[in-house]
Amino acid sequence: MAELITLSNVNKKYKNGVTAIYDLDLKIKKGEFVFIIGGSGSGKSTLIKMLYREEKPTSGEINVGGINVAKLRNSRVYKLRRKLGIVFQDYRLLPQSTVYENVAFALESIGAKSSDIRIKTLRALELVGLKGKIRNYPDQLSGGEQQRVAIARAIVNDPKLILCDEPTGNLDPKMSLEIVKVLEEINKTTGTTVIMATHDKDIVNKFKKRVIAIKQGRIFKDYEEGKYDNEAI
Amino acid sequence: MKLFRIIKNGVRDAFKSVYRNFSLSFASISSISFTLVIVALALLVAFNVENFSKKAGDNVTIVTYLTLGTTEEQAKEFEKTLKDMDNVQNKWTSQTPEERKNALATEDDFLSSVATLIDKPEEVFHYRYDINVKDIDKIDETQQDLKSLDVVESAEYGDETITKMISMFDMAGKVAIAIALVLMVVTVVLIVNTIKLTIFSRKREISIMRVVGASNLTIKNPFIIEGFIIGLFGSIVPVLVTIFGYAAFYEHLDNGHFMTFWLEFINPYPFVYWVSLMIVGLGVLVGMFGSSRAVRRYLKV
Ligand SMILES: Nc1ncnc2c1ncn2[C@@H]1O[C@H](COP(=O)(O)OP(=O)(O)OP(=O)(O)O)[C@@H](O)[C@H]1O
Ligand SMILES: [Mg+2]
Repeated sequence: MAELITLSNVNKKYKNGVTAIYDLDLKIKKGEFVFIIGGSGSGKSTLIKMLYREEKPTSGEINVGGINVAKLRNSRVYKLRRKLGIVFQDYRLLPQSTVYENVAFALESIGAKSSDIRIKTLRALELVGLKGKIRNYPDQLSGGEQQRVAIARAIVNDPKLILCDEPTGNLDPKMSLEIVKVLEEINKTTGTTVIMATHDKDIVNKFKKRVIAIKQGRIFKDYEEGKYDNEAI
Repeated sequence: MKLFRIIKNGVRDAFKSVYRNFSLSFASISSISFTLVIVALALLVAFNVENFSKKAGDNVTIVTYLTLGTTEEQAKEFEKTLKDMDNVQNKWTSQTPEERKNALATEDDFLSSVATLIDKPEEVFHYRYDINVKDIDKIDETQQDLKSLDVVESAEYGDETITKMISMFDMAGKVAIAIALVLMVVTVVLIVNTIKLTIFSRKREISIMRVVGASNLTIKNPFIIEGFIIGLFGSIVPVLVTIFGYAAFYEHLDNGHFMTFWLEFINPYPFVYWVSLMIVGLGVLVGMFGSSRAVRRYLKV
């Protein structure tokens, strides 16, 4: 299968002098489900941020779905973002908007037709199992449900790739499991590539996906059907 | 279609935030209203002064007499000088001594009999030139220029009070414009702060919009529209003042006539509509200028 993501010789040095990523090479195929693990400060978030062009690499090449991300002009970043869904640890929902409005907001923001917005929003909410709560506000939902709203928002525009930075970081084990099951389900049924940075040992061991371990900004290990490697931390 | 939706959503969001930040939006709208009232006054004065000046230029004549004994060549020379003077309209009327004698001959019996006694008119009559200026404001300078010529005996114009009056109006108009400019700066600062507040209050929304791939246009649009709305609302009072105020003033002045028969204010219709249009245009422009400055400074995209 074809590569969706290719990184070659990527370095990232922050303005304060910290080098977060060293000379990184990485390929991820379409339809893969990948865990990124590593200790605190190892560079997981930096890697993910570079994939959606929140951060620019200092040197090297990054290609995501045919877009040359390293050279992408600021005014064109939105074209990349429309091909991605992004999920954060803190959900990032609009507190004054309902579940439905939160998901529809993603489509409104890119100027979708209102008839499309309705259909796609309801479909995405069904996929994450929240069709019964579309009129709730975020503060009327559990953490796991809020994160599922965020996932629905990430998938509502049929992205090729979902990037998750510690999506289960604020959730208890049961809810965490649910969330990753939802992501796995999306990955299986739609073939969407999923990349998930995580500290969650149980989750990584349970799902037996590709695991990329990062240590001090370098790829330390890369296993197919891996498990959480304590050595990597 | 898509652009239409972006604009529609932008208008909706802009109205929401004007409503949400009502006190600051109201301050901006008041400030812009006050500024535009001054601008309206400045415009009304300026256009009328312009109109007065043109009329006065045609109606106030510098009557110039050349010295006795001026030869025909000297008179020709004088006309060349006139042609070169910037502020002199190119359509003066002139009378040679001969012509003046003949003119006298067409008057009543007594004067025409006097005229027959004159056989050397150049010894009795001066060359006379009736000169109109282009810019009434500079009529004094033109008069001095004429007087400084050797061939000129005298150069005088009547209606001095009127020309003084006009330059006073002109001055008033300029002062109003200066005040309006200062107020404009204050207004822009206020608008920038209003929009800044909106940007900060929508920080979360904006960051989510960026994440899901909204274009820069979509993100900036509501703020620019907010500036537009502030400008539009801000021009309502000035427009009313312009339309009703000027019409009332005009009527109060006996249908615009002022001091002499030829000096009159511009008829209110359609004049006030044009001025209103300028006011609205300026209001909207100032509003959008303020908002785009705020967007550039506080909304890094
Ligand atoms: N914006 C920034 N400016 C400067 N340095 C940064 C910035 N973001 C991250 N860093 C540094 O880069 C290194 C990698 O950080 P990063 O956030 O990628 O780690 P992480 O693997 O996501 O850690 P965690 O598991 O705690 O989230 C750290 O040393 C961090 O201090
Ligand atoms: Mg991190």
